[in-house]
Amino acid sequence: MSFKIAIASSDNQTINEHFGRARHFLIFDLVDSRFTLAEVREIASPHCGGVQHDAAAVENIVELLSDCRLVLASQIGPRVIELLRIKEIKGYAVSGLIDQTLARLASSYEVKNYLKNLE
Amino acid sequence: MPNFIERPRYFCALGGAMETITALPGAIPVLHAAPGCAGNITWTQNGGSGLQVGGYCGALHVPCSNVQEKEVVFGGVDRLREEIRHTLDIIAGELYFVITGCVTEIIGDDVRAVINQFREEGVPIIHAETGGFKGNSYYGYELVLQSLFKNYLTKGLEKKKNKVNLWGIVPFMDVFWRGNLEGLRLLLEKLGFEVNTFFTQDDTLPEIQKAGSAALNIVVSDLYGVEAAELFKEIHGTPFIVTPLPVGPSATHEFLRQAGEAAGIDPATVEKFVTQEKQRYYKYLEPLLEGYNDLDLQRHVIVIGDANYAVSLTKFLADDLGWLPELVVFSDPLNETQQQLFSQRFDLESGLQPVVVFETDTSEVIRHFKQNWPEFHGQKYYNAFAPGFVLGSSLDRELALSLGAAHLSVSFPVANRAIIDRGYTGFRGGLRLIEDLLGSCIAAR
Repeated sequence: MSFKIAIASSDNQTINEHFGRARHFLIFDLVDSRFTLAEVREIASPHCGGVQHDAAAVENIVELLSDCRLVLASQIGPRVIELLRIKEIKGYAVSGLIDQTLARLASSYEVKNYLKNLE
Repeated sequence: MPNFIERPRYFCALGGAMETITALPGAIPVLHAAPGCAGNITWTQNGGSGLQVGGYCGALHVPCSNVQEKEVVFGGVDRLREEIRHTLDIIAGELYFVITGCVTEIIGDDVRAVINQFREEGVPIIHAETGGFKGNSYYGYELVLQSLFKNYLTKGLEKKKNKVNLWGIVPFMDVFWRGNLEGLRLLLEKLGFEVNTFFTQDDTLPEIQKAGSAALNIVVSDLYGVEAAELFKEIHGTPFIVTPLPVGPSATHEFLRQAGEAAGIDPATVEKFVTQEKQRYYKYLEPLLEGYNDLDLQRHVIVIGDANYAVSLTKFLADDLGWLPELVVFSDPLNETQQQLFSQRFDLESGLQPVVVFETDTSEVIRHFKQNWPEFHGQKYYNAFAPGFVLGSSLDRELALSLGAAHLSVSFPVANRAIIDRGYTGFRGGLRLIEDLLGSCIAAR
C-alpha cells in the first residue's frame, strides 16, 4: 500500500485552502522516502458554498481521497475529520509551505514507522 | 524475571525531574510532553509524598506543551516554542527548565535547538532529556542534576576551602527531604563549612550557580546522584565522597568523620563536636528509658525501603535504638553490581545480621518473610515474630496488619502522614525517628 497525502492549496506552494473550499487537491506520494507530486484531483463541487455545507458533496470528496493516508488543509472541521477517520484517513489543520511541511513529515515517526513496517 | 512490577514505589524519570525542579528555588519546570503526564505525576505525588503536592508552578500548575496527534506527526518544536513564549510572558521565574516526556523523545524533537534560540536571547533556560523510558523518578533527579551541573553552573571558579555541596536526597521521593537536607546542612555549618544543598529554603539560584567553587561534594546516597557527582568532577574538578544517608548518632558520627577527613578538617575538632552532640542526644533520651524498659518497647522489625532508607533505617535500628531488624527489603530495581554493593552495607556494629532481599513487588515481601522466619507448627517453644514492627511505606500496612505488627511509613509512598519539614538525618533526626517509632507502638494506649 502506498503512502499518499492530499493537500488543499490554491497556489500549489502553500497549504492555504480550507478543506471545504478547495477546488482541487494535490496528491503527493512517498517515493524513496520523499514526497513527490503524483497528480492533481479536481473537485467538481466544493462542499462549502460560503453560506451552508452540502452534505452529499462532502462524502464525494472523502470518497475521492479515500486512497490517501493524510489530508492537510489550512482549516478542516470536526465532522470532516470524523468522516475521514472512518476511512482510516487522518485530517489535520496545518499551514505553511508545502515543501517544508512534507520534508518534516518525511522524517516523522509516522513515516519512519510506515517504512519500517514495509521491510 | 517477571515482566512487570507490582505496586512500584516510584514513577517515571519525567516525574522525578518535575518534582526535583519544583523543589529548586526559583526554577520553573516546562514540560514538553503529552497531556496527562503532569496529571499522573501529580496524583502519584498526592498519594505518596506525605501531602506535599504542587507549590509554585508544580503539579497541575505546571506549564506543558500538551502535544497532540498533530505534533506527533509534524513535530512538536513549534508548540514547544509557543509554550515557552507564553510561560515567559505570564510566569515569573529565575530559571526555566524544559524537560521532555517519552512521546516527544520518541518523535525526536530537537529541543536543544529551541533552547539555544532562547538562550541567545538571554533567557535563563536549560533542558534535560527525561523520557520516561530512561529510568524511574529517582533517575529523573539524577538527570536534572546532571543538566544543572553541565548547563547552569559557572565553570572555572576558584575553589573555596571550606565550601561543600551536598545532595543524594531526592525531593518528594524522600518525603522528609526538607528536614533531611536542613539537618545535614546545619551540622556541617556548625563544623565550619559553607554548605550548598540546592533545594532548601536557604539555597538560592545565584549561590547554586557558584556551586563549582566547592572544594568537596558529598553524596549522601550510594545510588541517587552518584553519576552526577562523577560528571561534576569531570566538568568542575571537585572531588566527591559517597556515604549512606546518616540517620542517628552512629551513622552521623561516621558521616562527619568522613566529611571532615575529605575536607582536611582537624579530626579533634570533629570528635569534639560529635561528643557535644551525642551528649545532647543521650541526655534527651534519658527520661525515655523507664518507659522503654517498662513497656518493653524493643521490636522485631521488617524494614522495607528505597536504596537510601533500607540501609540507613536498618543501621539506626540495630546500632542506635537496639531493635532487631530481621528482614531488609530493597524496593528499588537494582542490578547485580548494585545489589552486591548494598549487601556490603550491613556490617552492623551490633553484630546483628538481618536477611537482605531485593524485591520490587510489594506483595512478595510476605513470601520472603515466611521463607526466612520459622513457621509455627504447634511446637512447645516457638520464637514468634512478636512484638513486631513493619517500617516501610504505606503499601506495607497490609503486611503489618497480617502480622499483627505496628507500622510506620517512611519510604515512598507515604500516604498516611502529613510531612512538612520533619527530618531523620543527623543526631536530632534520630530523636525524631524514635518519637515516631515509639509513638506508633503506643498509639492505641
